[in-house]
Amino acid sequence: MKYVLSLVAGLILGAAAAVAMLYFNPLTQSQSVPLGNPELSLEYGLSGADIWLSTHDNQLDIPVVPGDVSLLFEDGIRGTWLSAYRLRADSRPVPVPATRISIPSPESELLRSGFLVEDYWLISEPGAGSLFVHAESNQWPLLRDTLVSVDWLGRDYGGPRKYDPTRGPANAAAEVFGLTGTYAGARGRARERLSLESYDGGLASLSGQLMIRMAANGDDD
Amino acid sequence: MKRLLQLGFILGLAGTFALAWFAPIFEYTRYRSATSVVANGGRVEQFLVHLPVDRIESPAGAEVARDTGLRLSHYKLRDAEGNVIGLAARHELQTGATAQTAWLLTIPSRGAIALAASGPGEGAIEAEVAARGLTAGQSIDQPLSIDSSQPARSVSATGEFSGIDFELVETWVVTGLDEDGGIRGTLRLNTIGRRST
Repeated sequence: MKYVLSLVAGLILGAAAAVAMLYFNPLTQSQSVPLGNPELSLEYGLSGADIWLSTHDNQLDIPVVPGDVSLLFEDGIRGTWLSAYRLRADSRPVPVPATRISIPSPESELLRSGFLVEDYWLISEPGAGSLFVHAESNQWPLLRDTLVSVDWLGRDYGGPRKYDPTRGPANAAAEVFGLTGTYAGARGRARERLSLESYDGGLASLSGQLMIRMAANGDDD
Repeated sequence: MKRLLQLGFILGLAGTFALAWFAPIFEYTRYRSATSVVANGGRVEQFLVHLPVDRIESPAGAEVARDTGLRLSHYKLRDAEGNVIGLAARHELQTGATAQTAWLLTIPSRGAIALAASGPGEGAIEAEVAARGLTAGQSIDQPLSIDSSQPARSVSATGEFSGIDFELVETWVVTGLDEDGGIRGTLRLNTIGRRST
Protein backbone atom coordinates (compact mmCIF):
# COMPACT_ATOMS: atom_id res chain seq x y z
CA MET A 1 0.00 0.00 0.00
CA LYS A 2 2.75 2.46 0.90
CA TYR A 3 4.33 1.87 -2.53
CA VAL A 4 1.07 2.83 -4.23
CA LEU A 5 0.81 5.93 -2.04
CA SER A 6 4.36 6.92 -2.97
CA LEU A 7 3.58 6.55 -6.66
CA VAL A 8 0.35 8.54 -6.36
CA ALA A 9 2.07 11.26 -4.30
CA GLY A 10 4.76 11.46 -6.99
CA LEU A 11 2.14 11.70 -9.73
CA ILE A 12 0.33 14.54 -7.91
CA LEU A 13 3.56 16.44 -7.27
CA GLY A 14 4.68 15.97 -10.89
CA ALA A 15 1.34 17.13 -12.26
CA ALA A 16 1.34 20.15 -9.93
CA ALA A 17 4.87 21.08 -11.02
CA ALA A 18 3.85 20.78 -14.68
CA VAL A 19 0.76 22.95 -14.16
CA ALA A 20 2.92 25.61 -12.45
CA MET A 21 5.39 25.51 -15.35
CA LEU A 22 2.54 25.84 -17.87
CA TYR A 23 1.10 28.80 -15.92
CA PHE A 24 4.41 30.68 -16.11
CA ASN A 25 5.45 29.22 -19.48
CA PRO A 26 7.36 31.98 -21.35
CA LEU A 27 6.60 30.36 -24.72
CA THR A 28 2.89 31.16 -24.40
CA GLN A 29 3.28 34.83 -23.41
CA SER A 30 2.59 37.81 -25.68
CA GLN A 31 5.45 38.25 -28.09
CA SER A 32 4.31 41.04 -30.38
CA VAL A 33 4.88 44.76 -29.90
CA PRO A 34 2.58 47.63 -30.97
CA LEU A 35 2.90 48.58 -34.62
CA GLY A 36 4.98 51.72 -35.09
CA ASN A 37 3.49 54.68 -36.98
CA PRO A 38 0.19 53.08 -37.98
CA GLU A 39 -1.78 54.86 -40.71
CA LEU A 40 -4.99 53.85 -39.08
CA SER A 41 -5.42 53.38 -35.34
CA LEU A 42 -8.90 52.15 -34.54
CA GLU A 43 -10.13 51.97 -30.97
CA TYR A 44 -13.08 50.21 -29.39
CA GLY A 45 -14.50 49.12 -26.06
CA LEU A 46 -16.59 46.13 -25.05
CA SER A 47 -19.17 48.33 -23.39
CA GLY A 48 -21.06 51.50 -24.22
CA ALA A 49 -21.79 52.78 -27.69
CA ASP A 50 -18.73 51.24 -29.38
CA ILE A 51 -20.14 47.74 -29.53
CA TRP A 52 -23.59 47.37 -31.10
CA LEU A 53 -23.70 43.62 -31.68
CA SER A 54 -22.11 40.81 -29.72
CA THR A 55 -23.17 37.19 -29.63
CA HIS A 56 -21.68 33.81 -28.77
CA ASP A 57 -22.83 30.58 -27.12
CA ASN A 58 -23.29 32.29 -23.73
CA GLN A 59 -20.24 30.50 -22.28
CA LEU A 60 -17.94 33.54 -22.51
CA ASP A 61 -17.40 36.38 -20.00
CA ILE A 62 -18.24 38.82 -22.78
CA PRO A 63 -21.45 40.89 -22.86
CA VAL A 64 -24.21 39.82 -25.28
CA VAL A 65 -25.55 42.85 -27.17
CA PRO A 66 -28.48 43.32 -27.47
CA GLY A 67 -29.74 41.02 -24.73
CA ASP A 68 -32.19 39.22 -27.00
CA VAL A 69 -29.83 38.65 -29.93
CA SER A 70 -29.73 35.23 -31.58
CA LEU A 71 -27.09 33.10 -29.80
CA LEU A 72 -24.52 30.94 -31.58
CA PHE A 73 -25.49 27.61 -30.05
CA GLU A 74 -25.38 25.33 -33.10
CA ASP A 75 -22.68 22.63 -33.16
CA GLY A 76 -20.95 24.05 -36.24
CA ILE A 77 -20.38 27.50 -34.68
CA ARG A 78 -20.33 26.83 -30.92
CA GLY A 79 -17.39 28.64 -29.29
CA THR A 80 -17.24 31.42 -31.89
CA TRP A 81 -17.86 35.08 -31.14
CA LEU A 82 -19.48 37.56 -33.54
CA SER A 83 -19.24 41.24 -32.68
CA ALA A 84 -19.79 44.53 -34.49
CA TYR A 85 -18.41 47.95 -33.58
CA ARG A 86 -18.29 51.61 -34.24
CA LEU A 87 -14.48 51.93 -34.27
CA ARG A 88 -13.07 55.30 -33.26
CA ALA A 89 -10.12 56.94 -34.98
CA ASP A 90 -8.66 60.37 -34.31
CA SER A 91 -7.92 60.73 -38.00
CA ARG A 92 -11.49 59.95 -39.09
CA PRO A 93 -14.45 62.30 -38.50
CA VAL A 94 -17.06 59.52 -38.28
CA PRO A 95 -16.93 56.12 -36.60
CA VAL A 96 -15.77 53.24 -38.77
CA PRO A 97 -18.17 50.25 -38.73
CA ALA A 98 -16.54 46.86 -38.33
CA THR A 99 -17.48 43.23 -37.89
CA ARG A 100 -15.25 40.79 -36.03
CA ILE A 101 -15.63 37.02 -36.09
CA SER A 102 -13.40 35.26 -33.56
CA ILE A 103 -12.88 31.51 -33.79
CA PRO A 104 -10.84 29.64 -31.16
CA SER A 105 -8.26 27.63 -33.07
CA PRO A 106 -8.04 23.82 -32.91
CA GLU A 107 -4.26 24.37 -32.97
CA SER A 108 -4.36 25.81 -29.45
CA GLU A 109 -2.14 24.03 -26.94
CA LEU A 110 -0.57 25.31 -23.75
CA LEU A 111 2.96 23.98 -24.25
CA ARG A 112 4.25 26.16 -27.10
CA SER A 113 1.62 28.38 -28.69
CA GLY A 114 -1.06 29.26 -26.13
CA PHE A 115 -4.79 29.78 -26.52
CA LEU A 116 -5.03 30.71 -30.18
CA VAL A 117 -7.94 32.56 -31.75
CA GLU A 118 -8.45 33.25 -35.45
CA ASP A 119 -9.78 36.80 -35.71
CA TYR A 120 -11.44 37.93 -38.93
CA TRP A 121 -12.25 41.63 -39.24
CA LEU A 122 -14.35 43.27 -41.94
CA ILE A 123 -13.84 47.02 -41.61
CA SER A 124 -15.72 49.49 -43.81
CA GLU A 125 -14.83 53.13 -43.84
CA PRO A 126 -17.68 55.37 -45.06
CA GLY A 127 -16.73 57.07 -48.31
CA ALA A 128 -13.56 55.00 -48.68
CA GLY A 129 -13.88 51.23 -48.79
CA SER A 130 -13.60 47.93 -46.98
CA LEU A 131 -10.65 46.11 -45.46
CA PHE A 132 -10.29 42.47 -44.44
CA VAL A 133 -7.94 41.74 -41.54
CA HIS A 134 -6.90 38.20 -40.63
CA ALA A 135 -5.16 37.90 -37.26
CA GLU A 136 -3.97 34.95 -35.26
CA SER A 137 -4.10 35.98 -31.61
CA ASN A 138 -2.82 34.31 -28.47
CA GLN A 139 -5.33 35.09 -25.73
CA TRP A 140 -3.70 32.86 -23.09
CA PRO A 141 -2.11 35.75 -21.09
CA LEU A 142 -5.52 37.46 -20.82
CA LEU A 143 -7.27 34.21 -19.89
CA ARG A 144 -4.56 33.31 -17.37
CA ASP A 145 -4.83 36.70 -15.62
CA THR A 146 -8.64 36.65 -15.51
CA LEU A 147 -10.29 33.24 -15.73
CA VAL A 148 -7.49 31.18 -14.15
CA SER A 149 -6.02 33.66 -11.68
CA VAL A 150 -9.16 35.48 -10.52
CA ASP A 151 -12.07 33.09 -11.19
CA TRP A 152 -10.34 29.81 -10.38
CA LEU A 153 -7.57 30.75 -7.94
CA GLY A 154 -9.42 33.61 -6.25
CA ARG A 155 -6.58 36.12 -6.60
CA ASP A 156 -6.99 39.85 -7.20
CA TYR A 157 -6.63 41.09 -10.76
CA GLY A 158 -4.60 44.08 -9.64
CA GLY A 159 -4.21 47.21 -11.71
CA PRO A 160 -4.86 47.88 -15.39
CA ARG A 161 -2.89 45.64 -17.74
CA LYS A 162 -2.10 45.67 -21.44
CA TYR A 163 -1.88 42.69 -23.77
CA ASP A 164 -0.43 42.35 -27.28
CA PRO A 165 -2.06 39.16 -28.52
CA THR A 166 -1.29 39.29 -32.26
CA ARG A 167 1.14 36.54 -33.24
CA GLY A 168 0.45 35.94 -36.92
CA PRO A 169 -0.11 34.86 -39.57
CA ALA A 170 2.66 37.19 -40.84
CA ASN A 171 5.75 37.82 -38.70
CA ALA A 172 3.90 38.55 -35.43
CA ALA A 173 1.39 40.68 -37.32
CA ALA A 174 -2.03 40.29 -38.88
CA GLU A 175 -2.50 40.42 -42.65
CA VAL A 176 -4.59 43.21 -44.14
CA PHE A 177 -6.27 43.02 -47.56
CA GLY A 178 -8.07 45.89 -49.27
CA LEU A 179 -11.40 44.69 -50.64
CA THR A 180 -13.35 47.60 -52.10
CA GLY A 181 -13.24 51.32 -52.89
CA THR A 182 -9.98 53.17 -52.38
CA TYR A 183 -8.58 50.18 -50.48
CA ALA A 184 -9.11 47.70 -53.34
CA GLY A 185 -5.88 45.81 -54.05
CA ALA A 186 -4.02 47.30 -51.08
CA ARG A 187 -2.06 45.13 -48.63
CA GLY A 188 -0.75 45.79 -45.16
CA ARG A 189 -0.10 44.61 -41.64
CA ALA A 190 -1.96 45.08 -38.36
CA ARG A 191 -1.50 44.44 -34.67
CA GLU A 192 -3.92 44.68 -31.79
CA ARG A 193 -3.39 45.95 -28.25
CA LEU A 194 -5.88 45.14 -25.50
CA SER A 195 -6.26 47.03 -22.22
CA LEU A 196 -8.17 45.67 -19.26
CA GLU A 197 -8.83 48.20 -16.49
CA SER A 198 -10.26 45.78 -13.97
CA TYR A 199 -11.73 42.31 -13.78
CA ASP A 200 -14.52 41.08 -11.55
CA GLY A 201 -15.83 38.14 -13.55
CA GLY A 202 -16.62 39.99 -16.78
CA LEU A 203 -14.65 41.66 -19.56
CA ALA A 204 -16.84 44.76 -19.85
CA SER A 205 -13.87 47.05 -19.12
CA LEU A 206 -11.80 45.57 -21.95
CA SER A 207 -10.82 47.99 -24.70
CA GLY A 208 -8.83 47.42 -27.83
CA GLN A 209 -6.76 49.25 -30.37
CA LEU A 210 -6.26 47.88 -33.87
CA MET A 211 -3.24 49.44 -35.55
CA ILE A 212 -3.08 49.14 -39.34
CA ARG A 213 -0.24 50.05 -41.67
CA MET A 214 -0.77 49.76 -45.39
CA ALA A 215 2.06 49.01 -47.79
CA ALA A 216 2.08 48.96 -51.55
CA ASN A 217 4.22 45.83 -51.64
CA GLY A 218 2.29 44.14 -48.89
CA ASP A 219 5.22 43.84 -46.51
CA ASP A 220 6.19 46.59 -44.15
CA ASP A 221 8.06 44.68 -41.50
CA MET B 1 9.80 4.07 -2.05
CA LYS B 2 11.92 7.06 -2.97
CA ARG B 3 12.35 5.59 -6.45
CA LEU B 4 8.57 5.21 -6.79
CA LEU B 5 8.04 8.81 -5.70
CA GLN B 6 10.54 9.95 -8.34
CA LEU B 7 8.94 7.72 -10.98
CA GLY B 8 5.50 9.11 -10.09
CA PHE B 9 6.82 12.67 -10.28
CA ILE B 10 8.26 12.10 -13.75
CA LEU B 11 5.10 10.37 -14.94
CA GLY B 12 2.91 13.18 -13.54
CA LEU B 13 5.09 15.84 -15.16
CA ALA B 14 5.26 14.08 -18.53
CA GLY B 15 1.58 13.14 -18.48
CA THR B 16 0.47 16.72 -17.82
CA PHE B 17 2.74 18.08 -20.56
CA ALA B 18 1.42 15.42 -22.95
CA LEU B 19 -2.13 16.42 -22.04
CA ALA B 20 -1.33 20.11 -22.63
CA TRP B 21 0.16 19.22 -26.01
CA PHE B 22 -2.24 16.63 -27.36
CA ALA B 23 -5.60 17.30 -25.72
CA PRO B 24 -7.91 19.03 -28.21
CA ILE B 25 -9.08 22.30 -26.64
CA PHE B 26 -11.42 23.08 -29.54
CA GLU B 27 -13.01 20.93 -32.17
CA TYR B 28 -15.81 21.97 -34.49
CA THR B 29 -18.40 19.71 -35.97
CA ARG B 30 -17.45 19.13 -39.55
CA TYR B 31 -20.34 18.42 -41.88
CA ARG B 32 -19.87 16.79 -45.26
CA SER B 33 -19.08 19.42 -47.90
CA ALA B 34 -21.73 19.22 -50.63
CA THR B 35 -19.51 20.23 -53.55
CA SER B 36 -19.72 19.23 -57.17
CA VAL B 37 -17.16 19.51 -59.95
CA VAL B 38 -17.96 21.73 -62.93
CA ALA B 39 -17.08 20.86 -66.51
CA ASN B 40 -14.53 23.61 -67.12
CA GLY B 41 -12.69 23.04 -63.85
CA GLY B 42 -13.37 24.06 -60.30
CA ARG B 43 -15.98 23.10 -57.79
CA VAL B 44 -19.40 24.48 -56.97
CA GLU B 45 -20.75 24.78 -53.44
CA GLN B 46 -23.92 26.45 -52.26
CA PHE B 47 -24.42 28.08 -48.88
CA LEU B 48 -27.83 29.09 -47.61
CA VAL B 49 -29.21 31.81 -45.36
CA HIS B 50 -32.82 31.39 -44.29
CA LEU B 51 -34.48 34.77 -43.83
CA PRO B 52 -35.34 36.06 -41.35
CA VAL B 53 -34.27 33.32 -38.88
CA ASP B 54 -30.58 33.37 -39.84
CA ARG B 55 -30.27 37.14 -39.77
CA ILE B 56 -28.35 38.29 -36.67
CA GLU B 57 -29.40 41.81 -35.99
CA SER B 58 -29.44 44.57 -33.45
CA PRO B 59 -31.68 47.66 -33.34
CA ALA B 60 -28.49 49.73 -33.02
CA GLY B 61 -27.37 48.36 -36.38
CA ALA B 62 -30.01 50.44 -38.15
CA GLU B 63 -28.67 53.51 -36.35
CA VAL B 64 -25.10 52.74 -37.45
CA ALA B 65 -26.31 52.18 -41.01
CA ARG B 66 -28.12 55.53 -40.99
CA ASP B 67 -25.10 57.40 -39.55
CA THR B 68 -22.59 55.89 -41.94
CA GLY B 69 -24.60 55.17 -45.08
CA LEU B 70 -23.61 51.51 -45.03
CA ARG B 71 -25.73 48.38 -45.14
CA LEU B 72 -24.36 45.99 -42.53
CA SER B 73 -25.70 42.43 -42.38
CA HIS B 74 -24.74 39.41 -40.31
CA TYR B 75 -25.99 35.90 -40.92
CA LYS B 76 -25.72 32.33 -39.81
CA LEU B 77 -24.53 30.30 -42.75
CA ARG B 78 -25.98 26.88 -43.63
CA ASP B 79 -24.85 24.14 -45.95
CA ALA B 80 -27.12 22.77 -48.68
CA GLU B 81 -28.58 20.28 -46.18
CA GLY B 82 -29.58 23.05 -43.78
CA ASN B 83 -26.91 22.54 -41.07
CA VAL B 84 -25.55 25.76 -39.54
CA ILE B 85 -21.85 25.61 -40.44
CA GLY B 86 -20.60 29.18 -40.14
CA LEU B 87 -21.14 32.91 -39.96
CA ALA B 88 -21.21 35.56 -42.65
CA ALA B 89 -20.91 39.34 -42.70
CA ARG B 90 -21.88 41.61 -45.57
CA HIS B 91 -20.92 45.29 -45.77
CA GLU B 92 -22.26 47.41 -48.60
CA LEU B 93 -21.14 50.95 -49.36
CA GLN B 94 -23.22 52.89 -51.84
CA THR B 95 -21.17 55.18 -54.08
CA GLY B 96 -23.51 56.84 -56.55
CA ALA B 97 -25.39 54.21 -58.54
CA THR B 98 -22.84 51.54 -57.68
CA ALA B 99 -22.60 49.53 -54.48
CA GLN B 100 -19.27 48.21 -53.23
CA THR B 101 -20.02 44.97 -51.42
CA ALA B 102 -17.63 43.11 -49.12
CA TRP B 103 -18.44 39.58 -47.96
CA LEU B 104 -16.78 37.61 -45.19
CA LEU B 105 -17.70 33.92 -44.99
CA THR B 106 -16.28 31.98 -42.03
CA ILE B 107 -16.68 28.27 -41.40
CA PRO B 108 -14.88 27.31 -38.16
CA SER B 109 -14.10 23.77 -39.27
CA ARG B 110 -12.78 24.87 -42.68
CA GLY B 111 -11.54 28.47 -42.94
CA ALA B 112 -12.66 31.86 -44.21
CA ILE B 113 -13.16 33.67 -47.52
CA ALA B 114 -13.20 37.46 -48.03
CA LEU B 115 -14.82 38.61 -51.26
CA ALA B 116 -15.53 41.90 -52.99
CA ALA B 117 -18.09 42.94 -55.61
CA SER B 118 -19.12 46.06 -57.40
CA GLY B 119 -22.67 46.36 -58.73
CA PRO B 120 -26.22 47.50 -58.08
CA GLY B 121 -26.28 46.04 -54.53
CA GLU B 122 -29.07 45.03 -52.20
CA GLY B 123 -31.05 48.18 -53.00
CA ALA B 124 -31.61 46.85 -56.51
CA ILE B 125 -32.93 43.57 -55.11
CA GLU B 126 -35.36 45.47 -52.88
CA ALA B 127 -36.40 47.67 -55.81
CA GLU B 128 -37.13 44.60 -57.91
CA VAL B 129 -39.20 43.10 -55.11
CA ALA B 130 -41.11 46.37 -54.75
CA ALA B 131 -41.64 46.49 -58.52
CA ARG B 132 -43.46 43.15 -58.29
CA GLY B 133 -45.98 44.86 -56.04
CA LEU B 134 -45.06 43.05 -52.80
CA THR B 135 -46.05 44.91 -49.65
CA ALA B 136 -45.03 44.50 -45.99
CA GLY B 137 -46.49 41.37 -44.43
CA GLN B 138 -47.43 39.83 -47.78
CA SER B 139 -46.51 36.26 -48.80
CA ILE B 140 -46.48 34.85 -52.31
CA ASP B 141 -47.04 31.29 -53.57
CA GLN B 142 -44.58 31.50 -56.45
CA PRO B 143 -41.18 32.63 -55.03
CA LEU B 144 -39.24 35.34 -56.82
CA SER B 145 -35.66 34.43 -57.70
CA ILE B 146 -33.33 37.39 -58.19
CA ASP B 147 -29.58 37.09 -58.88
CA SER B 148 -26.94 39.71 -58.09
CA SER B 149 -25.81 40.96 -61.47
CA GLN B 150 -22.09 41.03 -60.65
CA PRO B 151 -20.39 38.11 -58.90
CA ALA B 152 -18.16 38.82 -55.92
CA ARG B 153 -14.55 37.64 -56.29
CA SER B 154 -12.33 36.42 -53.49
CA VAL B 155 -9.43 38.57 -52.35
CA SER B 156 -8.16 36.36 -49.54
CA ALA B 157 -8.92 32.93 -48.14
CA THR B 158 -7.64 30.92 -45.20
CA GLY B 159 -7.58 27.31 -44.04
CA GLU B 160 -8.69 24.78 -46.60
CA PHE B 161 -9.92 27.61 -48.84
CA SER B 162 -6.45 29.13 -49.25
CA GLY B 163 -4.98 28.81 -52.74
CA ILE B 164 -8.46 28.82 -54.31
CA ASP B 165 -10.04 31.70 -56.24
CA PHE B 166 -13.76 32.00 -55.54
CA GLU B 167 -16.66 33.66 -57.31
CA LEU B 168 -19.88 34.21 -55.41
CA VAL B 169 -23.32 34.95 -56.85
CA GLU B 170 -26.14 35.97 -54.53
CA THR B 171 -29.53 34.54 -55.41
CA TRP B 172 -32.39 36.00 -53.40
CA VAL B 173 -35.38 33.64 -53.35
CA VAL B 174 -38.17 35.82 -52.01
CA THR B 175 -41.31 34.25 -50.56
CA GLY B 176 -42.68 37.42 -48.99
CA LEU B 177 -41.99 40.43 -46.83
CA ASP B 178 -41.94 40.79 -43.05
CA GLU B 179 -44.20 43.23 -41.26
CA ASP B 180 -41.25 45.67 -41.23
CA GLY B 181 -40.60 45.16 -44.95
CA GLY B 182 -37.61 42.83 -44.61
CA ILE B 183 -37.19 40.06 -47.17
CA ARG B 184 -38.50 36.62 -46.22
CA GLY B 185 -37.14 33.61 -48.07
CA THR B 186 -33.68 32.22 -48.73
CA LEU B 187 -30.44 33.89 -49.71
CA ARG B 188 -28.44 31.37 -51.75
CA LEU B 189 -24.72 32.02 -51.94
CA ASN B 190 -23.49 30.09 -54.95
CA THR B 191 -19.70 29.76 -55.03
CA ILE B 192 -17.39 28.47 -57.71
CA GLY B 193 -13.84 27.78 -56.56
CA ARG B 194 -10.90 27.26 -58.89
CA ARG B 195 -7.34 26.51 -57.89
CA SER B 196 -5.23 29.69 -58.13
CA THR B 197 -2.82 29.74 -61.06
